[in-house]
Amino acid sequence: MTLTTMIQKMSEGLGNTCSIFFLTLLIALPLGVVFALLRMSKNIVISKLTQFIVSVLRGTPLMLQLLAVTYGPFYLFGWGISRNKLIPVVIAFSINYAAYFSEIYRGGIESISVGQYEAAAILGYSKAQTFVKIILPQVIRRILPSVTNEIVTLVKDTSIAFAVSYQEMFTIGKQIANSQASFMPFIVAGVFYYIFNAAVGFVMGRAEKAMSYYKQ
Amino acid sequence: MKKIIALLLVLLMVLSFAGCGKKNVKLKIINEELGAEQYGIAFRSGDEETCNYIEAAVKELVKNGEYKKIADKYPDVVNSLIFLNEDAKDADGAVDITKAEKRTFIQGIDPEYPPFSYIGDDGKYAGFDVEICKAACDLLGWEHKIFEVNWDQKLIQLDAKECDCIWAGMTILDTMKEAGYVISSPYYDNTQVVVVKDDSDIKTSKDLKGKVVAVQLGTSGEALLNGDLKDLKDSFKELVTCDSFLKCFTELEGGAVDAVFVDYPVAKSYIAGK
Repeated sequence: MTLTTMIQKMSEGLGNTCSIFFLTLLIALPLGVVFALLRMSKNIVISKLTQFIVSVLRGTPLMLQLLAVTYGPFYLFGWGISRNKLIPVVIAFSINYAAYFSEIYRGGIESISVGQYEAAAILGYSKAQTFVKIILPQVIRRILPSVTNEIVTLVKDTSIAFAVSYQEMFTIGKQIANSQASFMPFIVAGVFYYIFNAAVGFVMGRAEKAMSYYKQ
Repeated sequence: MKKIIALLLVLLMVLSFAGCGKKNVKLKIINEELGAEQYGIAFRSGDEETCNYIEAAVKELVKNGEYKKIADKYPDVVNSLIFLNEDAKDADGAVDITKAEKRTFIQGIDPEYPPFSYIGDDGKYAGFDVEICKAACDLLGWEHKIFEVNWDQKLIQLDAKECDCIWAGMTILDTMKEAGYVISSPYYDNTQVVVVKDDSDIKTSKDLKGKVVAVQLGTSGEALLNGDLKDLKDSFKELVTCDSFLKCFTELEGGAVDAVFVDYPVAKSYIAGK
């Protein structure tokens, strides 16, 4: 097999890899806000419960959660296994990444000094206005590097979807590696992931620049 | 305290996962042989010496009846063994097994491949290939060890000297020979079959048109579908590759795929074991 066919075949799987990546981001980024707000709720029951759920999600391997979401209902209740593997994969990835994002958000929100709130109050801002106009822009700017970190990890974690037989790019790479008894597909996969992450790094770098409208 | 509760809950989750019996779904093998092939043992390129010793030892096992004794324990295997069907020819070959130097011999296996290699009920390695290898090593005076390979990277792991051979129901492929690996003479005649649910309306391989079929990554079934049976594969709606054949069967039982493409003895032993 020539290198060109190899790259071409693996690019076909790249679509599935991208599906996991973008859908997970689309769901996990807002879901993380929900988790973070629940975690900071004044109601102690909600707060502790969320804290526990997040600790489980962060404390168990993503692969285990992926297997649990995909095959768990079948083993436990005899429900059918989804034919479209993208659904369980995105559910498992989204919940897992939302847990990480929520802690990043919480760290960001809690890092804003109380003086900001006091100043906003004196200037006559309402609570909602304070959060949206004063706090949130500062939070986003502060958490961007950590969020980039997670997004970069997400790109690489998509290869875990092989555990539930989802045919993403790395799976196809493995197939070729096998049938050709060659190491080349892994190198191609490495280059693919690197380019993907370089693009992520570029976009996030631009975002950080756009947000740095003043120095602290 | 909270951490302990969390840990317990996780444990519970894992246990319920493992312990819970899945619904009993009946499977059947479609009576159609889809490509004949043979099992052999793979050694690193240039390692003809080890290969010769192992082959000589296995022939000795055939001669002294040990081979037959082990084979009889595995009813799904015994009928297709090559050495049992022909006399142990040139058993007094050039290799003198008594001259073998002491060493450790690491057998690379797929631990999820009954009846050839698997983890038995007692937690120890079992299977036809494991027992034969152990008996051969005993004859040679070698220390027998087992290494679990990742089946889809078995040859890389062999090259990396993590094990000294791949010996676990491995189909001989031309690509292996081309890549320079030393392959033993074949010891088992295998066929690929299609497994479906008992109530499935798939009767022959032609009925697989437009269906979703699962195959284990790195098996000869997968190689076959990408080679000689490419036309058949192209008629599928999708070919799903799994990382173990057990997962293929789980997908079949859970309704995620319509059929599984697998080695005959493995299918037979899985269905019998249910």
